[in-house]
Amino acid sequence: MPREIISLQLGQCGNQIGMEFWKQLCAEHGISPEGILEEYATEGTDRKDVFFYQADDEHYIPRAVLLDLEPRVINTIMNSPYSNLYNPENVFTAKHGGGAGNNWASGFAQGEKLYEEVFDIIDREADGSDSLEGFILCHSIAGGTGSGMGSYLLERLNDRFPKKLIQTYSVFPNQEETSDVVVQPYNSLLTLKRLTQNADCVVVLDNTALHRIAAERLHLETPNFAHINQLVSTVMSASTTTLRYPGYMNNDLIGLIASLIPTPRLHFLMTGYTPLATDSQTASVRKTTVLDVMRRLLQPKNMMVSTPVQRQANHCYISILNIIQGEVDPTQVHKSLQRIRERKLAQFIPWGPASIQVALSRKSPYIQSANRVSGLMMANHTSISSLFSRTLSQYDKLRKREAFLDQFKKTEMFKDNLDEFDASREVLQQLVEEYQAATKPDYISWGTQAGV
Amino acid sequence: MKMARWVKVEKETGKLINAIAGFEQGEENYDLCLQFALSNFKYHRFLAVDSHKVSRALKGIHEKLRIHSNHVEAEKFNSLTDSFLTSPVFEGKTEGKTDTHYALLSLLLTLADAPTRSTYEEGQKEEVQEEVEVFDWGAYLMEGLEPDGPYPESPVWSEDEEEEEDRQPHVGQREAVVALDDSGITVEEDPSRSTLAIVDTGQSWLTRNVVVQYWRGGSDHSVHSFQYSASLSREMEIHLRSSNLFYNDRGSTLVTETQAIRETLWLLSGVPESYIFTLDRDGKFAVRDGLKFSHLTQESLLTFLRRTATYGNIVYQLQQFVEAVLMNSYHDNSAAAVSQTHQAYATTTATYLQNLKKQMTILEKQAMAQEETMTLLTLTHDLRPRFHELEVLHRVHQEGIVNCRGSHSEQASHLLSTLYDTICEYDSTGEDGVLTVSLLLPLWIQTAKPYIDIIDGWITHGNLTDPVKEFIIQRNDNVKALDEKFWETAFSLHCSPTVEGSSSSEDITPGFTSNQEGTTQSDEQTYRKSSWAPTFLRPVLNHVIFAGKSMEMFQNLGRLLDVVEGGQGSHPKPLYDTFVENLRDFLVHQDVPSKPMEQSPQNHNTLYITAHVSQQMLVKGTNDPLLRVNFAGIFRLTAGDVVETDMEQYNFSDMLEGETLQPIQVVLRHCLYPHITQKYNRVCTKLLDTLKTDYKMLHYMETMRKFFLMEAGDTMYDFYREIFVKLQLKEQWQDMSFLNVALHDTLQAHFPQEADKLFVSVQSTGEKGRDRHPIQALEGLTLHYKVPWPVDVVINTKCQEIYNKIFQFLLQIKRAKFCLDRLKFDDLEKSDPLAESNEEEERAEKTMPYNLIHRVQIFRLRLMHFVNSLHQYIMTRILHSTGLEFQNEVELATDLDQVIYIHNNYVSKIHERCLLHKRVAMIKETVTRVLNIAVGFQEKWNAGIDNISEKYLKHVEDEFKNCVKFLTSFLNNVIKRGSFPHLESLAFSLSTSLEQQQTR
Repeated sequence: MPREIISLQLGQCGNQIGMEFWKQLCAEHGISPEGILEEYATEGTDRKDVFFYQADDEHYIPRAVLLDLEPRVINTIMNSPYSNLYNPENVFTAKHGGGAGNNWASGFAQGEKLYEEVFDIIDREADGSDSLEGFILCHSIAGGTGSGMGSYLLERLNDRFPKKLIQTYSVFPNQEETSDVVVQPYNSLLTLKRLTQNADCVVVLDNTALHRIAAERLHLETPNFAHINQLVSTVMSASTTTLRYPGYMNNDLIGLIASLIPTPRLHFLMTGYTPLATDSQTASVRKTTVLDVMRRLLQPKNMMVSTPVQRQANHCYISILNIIQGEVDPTQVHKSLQRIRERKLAQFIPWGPASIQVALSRKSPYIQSANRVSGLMMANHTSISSLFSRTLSQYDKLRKREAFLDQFKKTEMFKDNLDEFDASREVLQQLVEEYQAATKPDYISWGTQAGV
Repeated sequence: MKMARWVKVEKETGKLINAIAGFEQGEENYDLCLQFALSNFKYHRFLAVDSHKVSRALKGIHEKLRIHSNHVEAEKFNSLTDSFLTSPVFEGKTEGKTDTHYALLSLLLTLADAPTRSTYEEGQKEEVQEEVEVFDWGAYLMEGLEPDGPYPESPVWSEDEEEEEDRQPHVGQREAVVALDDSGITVEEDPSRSTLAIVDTGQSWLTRNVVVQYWRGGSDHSVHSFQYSASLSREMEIHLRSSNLFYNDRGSTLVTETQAIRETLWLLSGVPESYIFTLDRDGKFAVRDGLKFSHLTQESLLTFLRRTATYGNIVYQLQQFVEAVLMNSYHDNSAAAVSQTHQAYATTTATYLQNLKKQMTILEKQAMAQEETMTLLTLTHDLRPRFHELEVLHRVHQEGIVNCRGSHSEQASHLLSTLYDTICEYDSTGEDGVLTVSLLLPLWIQTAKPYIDIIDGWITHGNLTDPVKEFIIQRNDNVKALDEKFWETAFSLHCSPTVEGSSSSEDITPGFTSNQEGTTQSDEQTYRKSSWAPTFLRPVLNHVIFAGKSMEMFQNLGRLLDVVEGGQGSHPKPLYDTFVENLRDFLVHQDVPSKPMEQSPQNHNTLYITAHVSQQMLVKGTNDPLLRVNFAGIFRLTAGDVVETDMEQYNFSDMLEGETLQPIQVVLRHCLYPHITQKYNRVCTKLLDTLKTDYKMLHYMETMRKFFLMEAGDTMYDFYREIFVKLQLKEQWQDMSFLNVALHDTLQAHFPQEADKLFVSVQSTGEKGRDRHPIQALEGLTLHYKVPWPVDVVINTKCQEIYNKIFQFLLQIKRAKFCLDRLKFDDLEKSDPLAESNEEEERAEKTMPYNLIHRVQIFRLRLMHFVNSLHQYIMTRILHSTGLEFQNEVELATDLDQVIYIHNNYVSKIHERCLLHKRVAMIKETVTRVLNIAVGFQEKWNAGIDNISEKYLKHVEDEFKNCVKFLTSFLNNVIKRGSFPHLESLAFSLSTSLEQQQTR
């Protein structure tokens, strides 16, 4: 009775990173693109059944649902070697194929329309699992399908599976470059409301930071989506590694993230990964000790969220979870932890315990890695609020000019008024406030003001 | 007529010889003299004495004396000769100066001249003559000086003695009281005897040749002489009598030195009955009272003989022992059965005694031959090394046999220890001990043979052949072969009841205590244990035990053939032979090239010492070549014979020859231990291999970790989740079939092969436990794992119990974590489920107690942090890392006992580190309280915020804070003391949370 997890891939971005994720999982478990167990995959101690199930002919099928309103990306997937991996019934593209036009409202509305069809698939998957742990949603918050339809799905999933966990891997738009999606502040804002209210945990993947990392850490001149997606899939697979390679610790998703989240809204997590390397770069292998890995994880440049340096803001960690992969002596881990605590390498919230959790996990035996130890950090850090503040300010700018609102006013939701925008803005504003409050020692008594 | 006259001549000649030479009838010299004299009488003509010549000669002497200005003597001489010549004594004439007078004087003069001539003659005859002459010369002189001599009363004195002898109370002699006359000539007074002798020469020969029956009071009067030194005893007596009026002579028997020597020799050969030395009731020899030598005072004789008697005692005692052993060995009754070690010891001792007897016989022959002078003093001097040996043997015997009562094993090991210790002791004394060591070493080696054979049989063939239970280790018959306690209890060391107690099983697998305690305990026990083992075995005793037990395991596994060397065809060389061979090689070829490093300094040392010794011996003048030769002879004898009896042609004498001796420990280290160790290594490694490969020991250990310690977290998670869910829903979960089905379902998925081995049971914990702490609800849950036989020696029920305790504790943590993880914020914020429909309104109206909710949420975070820290600490810091350590250690282990020890150590370590040990019971209790809060908190949470009062929150917050505070300070103290280094990380993670609270 595994704690099954169903992954939902939404939109162009969601499907792309989803596909990378499954590629990675297949490689780690020794499953061929056709879903057949490879000859060499003889070590049976991993747990494939969390993310895969076996068909009658023993081949492995991912518990994945692929959703998009336009067929382009999904067609690419279905033409790739991995086309036979997925259950074709789980692949859904809108019949009209027109997409959501980067419009959140359009995506949301189409989601409503396709509710029956989509939830047929999801229900079937949920029924097919013994004890469903929850859902993983992959999407971007900037586009139309991922954000709009994703938002709708979040709401519905919450209604339908109130006890199940919903974790999202949300790609935040690159805010340094002028985006091709001009309405992304609107989309982001509206999606963030759902992410705040309806998701249990949001892993923030900041495109800005991913590009920076690709450029700086991986020394890529022109990082393309493949590289970025590679990074994302690494993070995704690493964050689920304890579920797939059972050990003494953390055998369910909830156990992993529960301690990271102090209050219902503060569930936006940053990630960091080290050591990062691309295929071309394996030559430069550095020695990795546990302490090295854990210290590097705390460096902002390895974080996959870009936050402006604000000296006065006094941002701090609320909680940290390090997942260390590889053959590691637990004693070393604890020594490193102590070192970090003693040297105060990480600034923690003043009102609660300095919670650094460490989960140890094995590495996949089928992937040759040059590094002995690698680590993923999932951190709840108050500086993530700057991301939301940025979205807020961009939204405010657009809203002041009433720019591009026509698109939204066409849809059902915004036909009469733009209350939804205001409500979303308020929710996001509160979120930012709560994050800021969490940096202060009097956060304990914060609830009194929040109620107002 | 002629015949009668001849007889008379013969008789007279006999008297003559007796008078002149002092020989008694029956003595060899007497016969020779008689023959010589008679033949001279028969076949020589003797001219009549020339009186003038004699007178001239006398005058000459007279003149000579005067020339030498010995006027007094000259005058005296003159007057004496004159008075002699004039006295009418002979031939019935009334006047002097008869032919007889002259003849006598002539004879005396001739005799006086004899020494000058003697050199020209040769052969035995000559010797005899010389002796006669020498003796006579003294007599002559004395006779001449008689009136002026220092002992004018001597004739009276002799009469006195005669009377005394007559008066002797104990003398029961009926016959042959021999009297002395002035000249010391023995006269046999028994007429019948003399006539018999006359009639039958054979009879007389016999009479003359048989030793005087001094044991019946008869004394050989021929020993008397008038030499000053020879009559010391008499003089002493006289002195005593004269100085002390009340002196009472208790009577005494005169014995000759020769008799004493012979008796001494007999005594030392172990003859129990003798005259001089009487055996009293205690089996000790005492010197008979009233013995005397003519030339020693009674006291000095007594002391002298007493000393010898002690050695006689030793010999006798040893002999008694040997006989007793032999007797008991033949009688096959178990009660009095003698251990093989004792038998071997008796055999070697017997051999030694035999040698001693041989030597004594040789000495006795020498004494009988009377070709060399032999006195008691020289004898004892010659025998001094023997005496020393005897002393050593006696000491060993006394300590090793006599002073040891108890079981056979005790006796045997005590004997071996004593021997070995004595060897070591003498060994360490350096040069002085060399000879003793070479005496004892073969003795010890021989004695140890049965012991070594037992060991050999056990560790090479797997049979503990020990009919009389003399080996230190005994098979416990009541332990079944397929018992999990087999390793611990199948064999016990034989100890005396006082120390046995619980040691026998525990000392092999030290108890389940903490690390430090465990080691000290084991040390202690090892010490205690080995104190009963023979000393020489102590360094390798554990090896022997482990190897033996391993063999036994193989036997019980039915795989003995795998491990017995060389299979059925060729028999491995017995350990003892190898040992002896090696010993020889080692001692003979000192510079064995294989171990030059270790040996060279030792060599050097030994050589230096011996050189030094011989030098010293030379300087001190003790370097008696005779003694040396004697020693060498003795050792050659002992050493050689010991081996001969063993039907082996090893030449111990070669190897024991002085210079090559090494400290005995070194010898053993090179000759015995390597073989035992090698066998031990082979057997134990093989056993471990077999257990690891064929019986999957490591697999079982892993399984224990997987399920009991939740290394297979996913599988166990699946199992306990169902129980937790039921608990949460307050459903009945103690249903055996439900639990087992749940367990087997989860196992079936991932470990189908283990599914039928593992099952679960619930023991009722009692009602009162449940209402106190909901967290303890799971305490009755017990896992059972069926470990098959050879492996359950390692993973026994005792271990499983501990595993279970840890398992239950883990379950508690897991449960708390599970409860906290599962808290959904929505559940808290939802209000009364009935009013759920109009949620929107409610929320607006009632103005949810946000502050309270927030506090509850933060409290959740705190609890969660605590539980997670604990969980992480237990799982990674303790179970994971200790598990890794354990695996490494098991890989390195060389024998099963080590594995057992490591495993037990591991189990007890995690037991302690999981806060289950008594010493950290306070921590455990506090932790339980927190866990309990967590479980209770979850219930409240799930019931919604409306059910959480501020008071409750305050209460749990305070309780939690107190617990954490307590834990932090406690742990910090512990860390400062440094006694629980592993707790550091837990303390640190907890302390941070407290710091934060305090700053608030």
